[in-house]
Amino acid sequence: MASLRKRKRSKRALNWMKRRKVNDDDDACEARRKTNMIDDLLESLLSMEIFSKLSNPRDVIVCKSVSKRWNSLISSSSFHYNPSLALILNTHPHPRATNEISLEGWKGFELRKYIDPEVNSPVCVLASYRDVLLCMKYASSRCKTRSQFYIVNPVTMRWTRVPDSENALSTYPIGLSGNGSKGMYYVVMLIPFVED
Amino acid sequence: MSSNMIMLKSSDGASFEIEEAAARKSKIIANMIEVECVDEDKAIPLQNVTGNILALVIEYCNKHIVDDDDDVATEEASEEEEEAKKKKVDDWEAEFMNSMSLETMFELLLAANYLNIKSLIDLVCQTIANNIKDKTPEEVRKIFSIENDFTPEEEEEIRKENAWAFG
Repeated sequence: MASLRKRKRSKRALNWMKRRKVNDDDDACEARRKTNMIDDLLESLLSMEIFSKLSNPRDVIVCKSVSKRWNSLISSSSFHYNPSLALILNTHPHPRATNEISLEGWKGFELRKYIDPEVNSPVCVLASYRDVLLCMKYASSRCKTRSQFYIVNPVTMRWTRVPDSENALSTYPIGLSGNGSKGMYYVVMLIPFVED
Repeated sequence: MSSNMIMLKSSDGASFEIEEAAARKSKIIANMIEVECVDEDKAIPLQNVTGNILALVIEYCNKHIVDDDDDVATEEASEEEEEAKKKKVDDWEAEFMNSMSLETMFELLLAANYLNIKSLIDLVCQTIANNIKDKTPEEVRKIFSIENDFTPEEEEEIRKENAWAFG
């Protein structure tokens, strides 16, 4: 009985191997014909294994402008930049967390250079989660606006405004979390509980 | 550790003998051993891997299986020894990758992908990624012989969007 089961199993495994071989054959032979240049690599290898290993986001941007194929691979939603950007910890109370303090000292990545010039009030980075940042645009007393929060992807340059919250005060401790690959992020704020 | 030997045959007909423990670095071969579809006196044909590339794969697997054995033997190794051992492996890997052309690297990557050897995929990809580091788009295209298929306008657009990266 046991040996019968085993034989059945190996047959299935063999079939699976054969199928795999047929699929892989096309790609591998194709690549060999064209002398194995990088453009012939399987897309998954290129984006999941190579691009995501670039240690500096600057290099990812450079790759975007190499060719249309690379640009579309890196811009696609399935591309996830591996090195966590969780290098910023805001140890200062927000009012004192100036641009200079939060943006300085982040190796190889000068945020100041690409922060939207239209934003005339100061912006600071409050937290990071994986490859996105949580930024805050300070309230401007002149225009009577509230502080606004943004989720910023420094690689794709996408700024998404976080919906306003009644209770949000920029002086409360704040953090960023999420389920990364699905593009959902959570802004977590600690709000003091006041008993009546 | 069993020292069963396994025969592998490359697409161009070269045969290689390899320890089972080393061959198991490949998930595909490990799987075949698992389900017992490896005949002891018959070579496993690897249709997508040429002899010169297979030789490199085997060199890598042999090197790393020796390291795994070491781990078992010196369980109480001090942190320093661990560090030294890791450095030795890193040095070997650097030397290993240094000795090959970019074209060989791509062939090795395809082979590692086909044979499903995750640590080798990581090693090759990291080396290729290091080739991209701190380069300009033109340099990257030149290294990898990639044609620039952007129109000058499109290229300018991307450049503007990401001006900070090109400073």
